[in-house]
Amino acid sequence: MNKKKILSVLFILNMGITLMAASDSLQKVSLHSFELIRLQNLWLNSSNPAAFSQMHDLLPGIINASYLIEDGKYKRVQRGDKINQFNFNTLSYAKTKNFNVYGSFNYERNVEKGLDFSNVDDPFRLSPYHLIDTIGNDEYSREFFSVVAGISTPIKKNLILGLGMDFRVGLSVQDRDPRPVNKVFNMTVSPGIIYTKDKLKIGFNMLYKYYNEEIEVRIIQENTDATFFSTHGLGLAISHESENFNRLQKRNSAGFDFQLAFSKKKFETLFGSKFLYYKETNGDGRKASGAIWSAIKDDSKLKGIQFDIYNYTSIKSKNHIKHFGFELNVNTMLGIEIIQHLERVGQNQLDQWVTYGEEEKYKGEDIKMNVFFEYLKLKNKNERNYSFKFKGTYHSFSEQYYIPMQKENFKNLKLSASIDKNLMIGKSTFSLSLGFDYKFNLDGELNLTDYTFIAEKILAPDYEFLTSDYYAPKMGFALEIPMKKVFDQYFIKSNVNIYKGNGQSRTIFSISTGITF
Amino acid sequence: MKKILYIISVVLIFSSCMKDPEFNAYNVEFNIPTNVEITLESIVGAKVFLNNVEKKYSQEAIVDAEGNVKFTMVEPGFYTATMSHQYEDGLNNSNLNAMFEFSVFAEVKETLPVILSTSNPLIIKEFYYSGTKTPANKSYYEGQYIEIYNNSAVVQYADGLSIVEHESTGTKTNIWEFLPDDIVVKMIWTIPGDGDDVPINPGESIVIARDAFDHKSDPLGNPLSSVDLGNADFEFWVDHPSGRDIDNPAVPNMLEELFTFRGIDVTFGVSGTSAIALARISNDATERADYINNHLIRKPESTSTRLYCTLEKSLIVDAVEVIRDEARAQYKRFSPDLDAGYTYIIAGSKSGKCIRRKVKYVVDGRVVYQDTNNSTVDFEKDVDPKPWIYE
Repeated sequence: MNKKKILSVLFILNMGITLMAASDSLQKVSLHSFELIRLQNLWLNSSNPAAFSQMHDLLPGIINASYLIEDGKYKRVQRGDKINQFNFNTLSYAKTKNFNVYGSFNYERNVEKGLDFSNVDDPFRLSPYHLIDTIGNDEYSREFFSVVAGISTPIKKNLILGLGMDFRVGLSVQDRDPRPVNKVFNMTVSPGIIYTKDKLKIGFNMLYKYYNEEIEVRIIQENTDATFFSTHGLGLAISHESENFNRLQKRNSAGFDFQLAFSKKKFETLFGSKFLYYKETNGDGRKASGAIWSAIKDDSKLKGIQFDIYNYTSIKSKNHIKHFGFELNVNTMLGIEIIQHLERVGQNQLDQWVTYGEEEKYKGEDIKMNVFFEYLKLKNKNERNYSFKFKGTYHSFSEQYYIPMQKENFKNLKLSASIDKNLMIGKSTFSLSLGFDYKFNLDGELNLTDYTFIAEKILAPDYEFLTSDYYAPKMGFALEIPMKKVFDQYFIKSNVNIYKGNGQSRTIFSISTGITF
Repeated sequence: MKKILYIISVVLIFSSCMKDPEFNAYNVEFNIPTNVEITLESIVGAKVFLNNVEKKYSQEAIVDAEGNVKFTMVEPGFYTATMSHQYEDGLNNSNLNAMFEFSVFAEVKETLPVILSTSNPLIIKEFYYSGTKTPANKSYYEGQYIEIYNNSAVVQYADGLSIVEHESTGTKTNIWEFLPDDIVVKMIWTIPGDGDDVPINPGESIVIARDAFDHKSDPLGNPLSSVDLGNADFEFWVDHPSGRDIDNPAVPNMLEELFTFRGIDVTFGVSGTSAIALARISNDATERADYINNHLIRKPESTSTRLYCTLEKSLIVDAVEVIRDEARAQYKRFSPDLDAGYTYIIAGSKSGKCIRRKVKYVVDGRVVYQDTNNSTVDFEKDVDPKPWIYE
């Protein structure tokens, strides 16, 4: 079964869940229901699909169309000056006698203008191995579909089984030479169980992820070459002159998520630790008359371990919820270069890349730690009066390239605060949210012995951005109007975030409308 | 239960980080052999560059008092070691050049072969081959030219000097490596005269145009071209049955003496496939013709009847190894005694750019261009064509 068929089956399944769920929730559903279920059912913060069986009364659903504009110069080099994005998505939870199901469908279309030097769909994916060119002011158009589905069922009184799947496919294209076409495929499969013994619950789920990006870059202008860089991290790269270039990036990840929960009356806490091992390979190729080689060149491998520890704790009462959280994510990477030489081999003397060895050349470490507290004042069991949230995020990133010795590291701290308030206007609900982020740099070092083109054009300006201080006021509103019959609310909402740092700014504005049920 | 959880946590934390990279690094040592011509005194202090072929970065080290040069912490891979050292030997400038390809997968101790050459007074100052686009986005390369400059302090004569192009386009291994003392050419065009008819004063040049007219303003030209070759000193004109090559009667024509791929005009590879040289076979036209006829050769292991000419390297006055791009450097055609390096136009074909020698110094208003017999260091890439302008 190919990717399209899988996606179609899941989409139909997902729409079935949406229709099934349209009148399934026993409670009135609003925009805040999605926030509430996360606080009421801490298991939803884990990756265990068996967690859906923990949901009972509140089974919200949404159909939503949104438009987002991102604009401004306060950004990384390979991020566009301006992004226009349209999204359509549905999301719903439903329950039958023995099964809880979850489904989500998302269609995304965006145009990103004014980005520089990127030939990959996502240049910020944590990997030193990317494909870039030397041409700036590019424009990427993207179209992506994603389907998420989950099902869980109790197989014994104290044992729940679950299965979750997530597929995302899409195409990104540039319409200026050199023009890449990126075919991206992402999937996750996760089977899980939850075992209950008195006030203790133990959960365990496996995770398998697959990422695949096929990149085909062409130059329409005749007899014109471009320089392509297969980057190796911290400014180092192998460059190729060619009229076209192909690359295949594949990543397989496998791991597990282990959870332990304890609850007693109003108190509930969930501990978890997730472990994911991944391995990525990057192969290059090119063809056509202007190329001196067309054979596949094995460029590099990336191995990594992603490790998460988390704890979520809620103290619930009739009219409020206090929620505490701690999340630690450690991602360490080891980059391996494959040393190859183009030689004529075999009886036919065909050009082939002959492997001479593999060298471990790169190490990266990304650590993120979040600590947060959230207070939610309720009007009734499922409706919010107001809430406020404080969050501290510590981010440490370091990477090192061995020979020539290149090094980058920085540590940032971000403090966030936000408040949300619901107001009744007749039968409608108007909610207003205000927030503020302040990020500041604690430490940083960029130490390069070889100041390459990539170091000058990408690495150094990105380092300046990543270690800059910024503040970001945020504001949002939502208006929800009750509906009769099948659906609960019609809503319209909008948010604006303004980031200011380094004497520059970037504004993210979004507006969305839809229905909840 | 607590014990199990504790063990799981400890195992997870300790296995959560990737190990540190285990990478290899080696020492690379060269000894430079000396002899009567290449003395220890002449090489001490010379800079040697170790160039990583794949990643295109270089390390630099100095030749020590024993004639050795050492690099430490060299990552495995494929390298070239290059040296381009100039010193004054009495009245002459002598060049010591080296270019050595090797791989590093263990400690390296090698001899670095260095070649001694002297600078010639007549040099290729500028080579414009890339062409331009037309307003209709077509290719236009009729404005190609070669500029020959007198880099000495005395008058030099250009007649009898031939412009030759190597047989290989530099996209495959040079098949003529079995002739180490010769180069094999597919084109020989000579400046007419018997050796004292075309003087070039010190600090002056002559321009040999593919088509000698003002390419900027002539109706047959291209408004996007930047060159006016109406006053070219010589032009390549092909007496072709099609009659399509434009002949400017006011500009003398070069003498066609070998043109293996005879087309309607002389065209140099716009994407950088023409390695060219100046050769002085003989100032006497008859002797030249005899030499060429006696040195014709076919491609080995080929059924083609096309004929090329082998030229002894001693006849070469100046050579410039033009390549298409860095990746093609492995197909270099000229040996290090003719050109120890290579050059190219990064902006590519139809860019309107050319290669030009760097100015070494100016003496009494006379520009002296750099000529170390290494075009990697001698030439500027991607410069605007400026025939007859010395700066």
